[in-house]
Amino acid sequence: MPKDTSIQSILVIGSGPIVIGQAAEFDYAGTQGCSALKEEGYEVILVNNNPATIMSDQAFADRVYFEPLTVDSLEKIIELERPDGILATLGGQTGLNLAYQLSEAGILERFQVKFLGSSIETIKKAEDREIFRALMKELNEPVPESEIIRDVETARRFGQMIGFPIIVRPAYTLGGTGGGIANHLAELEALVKGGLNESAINQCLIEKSIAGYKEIEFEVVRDSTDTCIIICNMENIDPVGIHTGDSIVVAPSQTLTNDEYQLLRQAAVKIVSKLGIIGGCNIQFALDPTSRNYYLIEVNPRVSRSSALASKATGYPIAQIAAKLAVGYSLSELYHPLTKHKSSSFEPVIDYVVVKFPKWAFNKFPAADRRLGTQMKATGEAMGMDRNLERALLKAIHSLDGGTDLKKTYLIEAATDHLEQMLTEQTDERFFIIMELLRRGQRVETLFEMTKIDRFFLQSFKKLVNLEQQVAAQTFETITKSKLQMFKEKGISDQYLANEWHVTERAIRNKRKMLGIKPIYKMVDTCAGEFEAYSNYFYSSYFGETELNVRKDKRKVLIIGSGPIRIGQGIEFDYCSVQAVFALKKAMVETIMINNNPETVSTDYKIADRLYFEPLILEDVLNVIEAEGITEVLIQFGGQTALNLAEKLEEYGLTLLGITSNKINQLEDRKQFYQLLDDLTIPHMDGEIVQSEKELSTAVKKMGFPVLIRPSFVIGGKGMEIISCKTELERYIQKNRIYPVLADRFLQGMEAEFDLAADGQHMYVPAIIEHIERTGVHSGDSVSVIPPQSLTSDVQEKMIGYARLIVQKLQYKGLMNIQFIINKEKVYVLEVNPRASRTVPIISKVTDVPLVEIATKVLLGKYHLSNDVIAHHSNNDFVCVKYPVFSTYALKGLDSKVGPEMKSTGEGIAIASTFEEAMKKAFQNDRLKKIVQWRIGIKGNGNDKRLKLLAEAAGVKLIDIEDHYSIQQMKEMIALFSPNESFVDRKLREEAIKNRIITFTERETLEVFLQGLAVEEWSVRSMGDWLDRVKKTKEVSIR
Amino acid sequence: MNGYLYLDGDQCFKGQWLTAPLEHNVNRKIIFFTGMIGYEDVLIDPTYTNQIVIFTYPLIGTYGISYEEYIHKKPSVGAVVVYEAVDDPSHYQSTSSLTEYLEKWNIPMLSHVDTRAVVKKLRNRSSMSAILSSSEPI
Repeated sequence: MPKDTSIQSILVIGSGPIVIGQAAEFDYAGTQGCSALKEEGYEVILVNNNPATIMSDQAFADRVYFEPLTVDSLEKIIELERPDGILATLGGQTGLNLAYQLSEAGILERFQVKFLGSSIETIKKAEDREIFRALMKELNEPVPESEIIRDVETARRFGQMIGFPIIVRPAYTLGGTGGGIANHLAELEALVKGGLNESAINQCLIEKSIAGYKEIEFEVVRDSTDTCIIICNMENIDPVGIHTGDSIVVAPSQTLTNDEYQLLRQAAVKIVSKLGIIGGCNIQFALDPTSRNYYLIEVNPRVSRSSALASKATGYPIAQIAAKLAVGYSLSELYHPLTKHKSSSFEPVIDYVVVKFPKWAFNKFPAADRRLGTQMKATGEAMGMDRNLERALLKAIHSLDGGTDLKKTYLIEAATDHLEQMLTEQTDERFFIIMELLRRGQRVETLFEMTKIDRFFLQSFKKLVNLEQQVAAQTFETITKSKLQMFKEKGISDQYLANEWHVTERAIRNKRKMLGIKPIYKMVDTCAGEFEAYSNYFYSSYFGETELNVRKDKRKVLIIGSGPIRIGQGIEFDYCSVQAVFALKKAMVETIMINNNPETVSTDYKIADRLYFEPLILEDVLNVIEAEGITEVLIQFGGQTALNLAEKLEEYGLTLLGITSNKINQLEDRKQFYQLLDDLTIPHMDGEIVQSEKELSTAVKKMGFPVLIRPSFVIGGKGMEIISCKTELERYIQKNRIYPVLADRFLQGMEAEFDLAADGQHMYVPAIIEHIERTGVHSGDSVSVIPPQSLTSDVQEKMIGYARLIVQKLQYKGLMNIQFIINKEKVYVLEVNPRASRTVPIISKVTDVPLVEIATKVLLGKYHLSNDVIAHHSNNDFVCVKYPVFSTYALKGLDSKVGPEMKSTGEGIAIASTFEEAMKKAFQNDRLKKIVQWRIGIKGNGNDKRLKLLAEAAGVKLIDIEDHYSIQQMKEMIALFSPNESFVDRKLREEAIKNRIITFTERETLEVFLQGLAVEEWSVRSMGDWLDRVKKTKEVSIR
Repeated sequence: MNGYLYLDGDQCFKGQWLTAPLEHNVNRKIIFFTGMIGYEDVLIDPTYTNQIVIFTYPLIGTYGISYEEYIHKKPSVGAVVVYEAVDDPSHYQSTSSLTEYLEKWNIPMLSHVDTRAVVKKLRNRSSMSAILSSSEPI
C-alpha cells in the first residue's frame, strides 16, 4: 500500500532522559524514524526533553519540544500543533505509555490525531497481561502458569497453590523494574508490594518461575498486508531469570536445532500477526533445554534495545523501516538500503557471530547490590562481531574499557569455594568467575549445573582458558607464525600477549606484522555474501580475504567514538561524534567512524562514510588506521575513552587534529595544570599530588579540612571523595591502595562552567552555566541554569578572562570545557577538560550555535574566528534548566546523596520564560497531580524560615521526619529532603527511592524545587520559537 | 592435514580436513547454503545429492546430530566445506558431532576455509563445479 496522504504532520514522542533500561537505543530509533518520516515529506514534531540526543537536533525534526513527557504537557503541545498523526513506538516504554494515556484520556480523539503504526488496540493487547494471556490461550500459545494481581493477599494464595520459585513482573514499567524471583512466601510478599508500587497501573504478573530455560528472542517486522519477517533471532547466554539487558547475548541463536528454531519462529509470526503489529516487535521465549516445551515470556510491540542490537547485528534498519510501515507502506514497496536491489521483505542472513556484553556501573559503586535478576542494572553495552564466537566475545569484552585480560586479580586471590558461592549469587562478574573456575579445572558439567548456561557456551569459555594456557607456554622469541595466527584469529589481544611475554605492545605489533599477520575487513551486507551489496559497514577478522577497497587519495579523518554508555560518559559524546561527522562531511572530508556501542546513532552505517565496529583499544584503532591509510584523527568528541588513546596514537605517528598529547597533559596532569595556572596567575585550589599515605597526611595537615581527594585522569568523578575530618581521612587511608592521588583544598562556594570553541587565538563562548548546588556536587549531578541567575557580570568577566588566558597561552584549538568555583567575588579555575563535554549538546541546542561544527572546522584548518565571541543571555530571552536524572531505583545499595562522584544516568532540560517556570517543568510528574495535599518530609535542620516561606508559597506542608517514620507518612510525601550522611538518613533515602519519591540531599535543590511548585500556569513552546523570539528581541534592541 | 578447494581450475582455498584426508580428488558441483541454522537438514536434502555443500555461517554443528532423527540417515551431500565445525556440540538429543556423523558415512569435510570468499565467487554463476583435493596447488 502506498503512503498515507491524509496526514501531513506527525508527532513523535521520544523516550526522555537516559535511565537504566531506556538508553541511547531510543535515540538511534528516534533519529532513524524521524529522518525516515522527513524523507517521506512529513512535517515532524518531536517531543523529547533529553537534550543530549541526536534526534532532537533541528536536522531531524521540523519542530522540537524540550517539554516534560507528561500527559498534561503532551496535551498542550497537541493543542498548539494539531498534528495529524502520532508515532509512539520509537520512544520506548515512555513513549508507548504516554500515547496510551493520551488515548485513554480522549485527547487523541478530541484533536483528531491518527494513531500510526500498531493500533492502540494492538498495544493494549500486547501490554496488558490479562488481555494478552487470554489471547495467547486462544492461540494455544503456552504462557507460564500465572496470575494478574492487584494485592498481596491474592499473591500469597497463588504462591501457596503453585509453589515456589515464583517470578514477579510488574506491568507498565521500565526495564523490568521492581520484579524479581521469590523463593518463599515472605520474599513474595515483599516483591509484590514493591512491584505494585512500581507499576504504572498497579498491576503485577506473578508466575511460576521458569528460570534456567534458554532465553530466545526474535525481532520481527510486520506490515499491514500481513507480511511478517524475522530480522534476527538471539540467544541469551544467561538463561531465563537474568534480564536480557544484563545478559550476554549472542546472535543468531547457537544451540537451537532447526526444529526448535522453526517451532519458535512459527509461534512468533503467529503471535505478531494476531496482535496486528505494524512495524517492529520483540518477542521473548523460554525454551526448555531438554524438551520441545517452550513458553512465551514477553512481547514488546515497539522498537527496543534488542531491536537496536538486531539492527546493528544484521545491518537491517528496523526503526527506519518501521517508521515507513507506520505511514502505510508495505515491506515489498521499500528497498533494502544495503543491498539496494532487494526489497525490504528479504530476511537478513548473517555469516558471522555477534556477541553483546553489558556494561555495569558497579566498579564505581562498590556498595550497590551486584546481583542480577529480572530488574535490569546495566547502563550500556558493547557488541563484538567476527567469524568465530571466541573473538566476537573477546571483542565485546575488549570494548568495555576494562582491559583485555580476563584474569581478575581479586578473583585469582579468592578461594574456590568462595568463587562458587559468588557464582550462585548471579552477579555481573559471573563470566569472570566462571573463567577463573575453569582455570582451576572445574568441569563444564558442574558449571552447567550451577549456572544453567548452555554447555556449548561453557565449552567456548573453556577454549579461551585453553588459549591462555597456550599463550603462557610460549615466549616472544619462540612463537611461530601459525601459533600466533591462531591466537589472533581467536581474539587474543596484542596487549595481552605483550603482558604475558613481558615485551611492549609495540614489539608484538611489529613482530605480528613482520610475520604477515594482519586483520582483514569483512562487510556486513545482510545476505551472507549471496548478492552484491554496497555496504560501508565493516568488522575485522584475522582470517580470510579482505573486502575493503579504499581510496587513499582523498583527505579522510578518523572519529573515535565513546564506546558503551556508562555513568559519566553518556550519549552526549555520541551526539558530539555524530555532529563531528556531519561537519567533516560538509567540509568534503571522508569520515571513518570506529565504535562498538550497538545502541547508538554513531554506529548507524548511514552516518559516516565508513563504519568499523571494533573495540576502542589501541590495536584495533591502529589496524583501522593502517587499513584506511589514515593520518589524521579526531579525539575530542568521544569523551575520555578517545582522549586516553591520544598519546599512544601520537607515538605511532598520527596527527591528532588541532591538539597534541602534550597539551592534553598540561591540562589533565594536575601538577602541570597548576603550574600553568600559576604562570597565568589564575587562582586555583591549593592542591598536591601525593605518592603515599604519609604524604597525604602531611598535605592534609597543611591544607586543613575539608579536602577533596581523587585519582588522576578520571571519568565522572570516579573515586572522588570529600574528606572533612580526621576519622574520614583514616578510613580513606585504610581503604585506598592506589597512589598517587590528588588532594585539593575543598572550598565551599558556587560552581559554574562553560564550553568554548577556540581557534588557537580566539574563542567562542555561547553560554555560561551556573550550578544551583554548591561546590562538592559533581557537575553531572547538579541542577544548572542558563543564563546564570546570581553571578555578577564582574564574575562572568573574570571567568571569560581566565579562559582567554588559557586558550591563548596554549594556542588551544577545538572544544574546551572549563569548570569554576566562585567564592564571594573570587573566581577559581577548578578543572579544564580539553574535549567535548556533557553540556555541549545542551548549549548547542539552546543557543543555536553549532559548537561541534565550529570546532571541527577549526581543527581541519578550515575556519578561523576573527574575534572573541562571547554571548550574553538575559532572563528576558528564556531560561534553560538542566537537571540530572537518576536510576537509583535500579541499583539497590547506592545511596542517593549527591557528591563529587557522579551518580546520575541522564539529564533533562526545561525551558521557560522564567527560572521558576522552568523548574516547574523540570520536576513535572504525574504523581504531583494525583496527590491533593503536597507534603515534603524534612530530615535534619533545614526547616527554617526561608524554607517555610518557600513552602507556603508553593502550597506545600513541610513535615519534620524523626528517626522513626511510618511508611504511610512516606507514601503521602511528594519529596524528601535528607542531607545527612548518617545510617538513618541513608535508610530513609533508600525507602523514599523505593517508593519513587523525589529525594533531595542538597538544600539548594529543594529550594528551587519549591520555587517551581509555586508556579501555577505554564506553557509549551518549541525550541525554534524560543530562538526566533530571541532573534526578534535582539533586532528590536539594536534599533 | 591441509586440504584444498579448487574453483574454476585456478582459484585455490586452503583448509584443513576434519575427516580423513581425501586420497583421490573429488570433482563435483558446488552449492552454497546461507542459512544460519539447519545444517542437519541440508546434509540429507536429496536436492544436493553428491554435491559439495559450502556453509556461509561460520560455526556449524553447534547442536550436533540427533540420534533418533538423523544419525541413521545417510547424508546425500558429497562433501562439506565450513569455516569451523564444532567438536563439542550441546543438545539433549545429540549423540554425535557433525564430524563423527560425516566420518561414519565417509563424507569428507574441509574446514577453516573463508567460506564467504568462496560464495562471492559462486554467486554470479548459475552452476559451478569444484575440486576437493589433498594436493597442494602446483
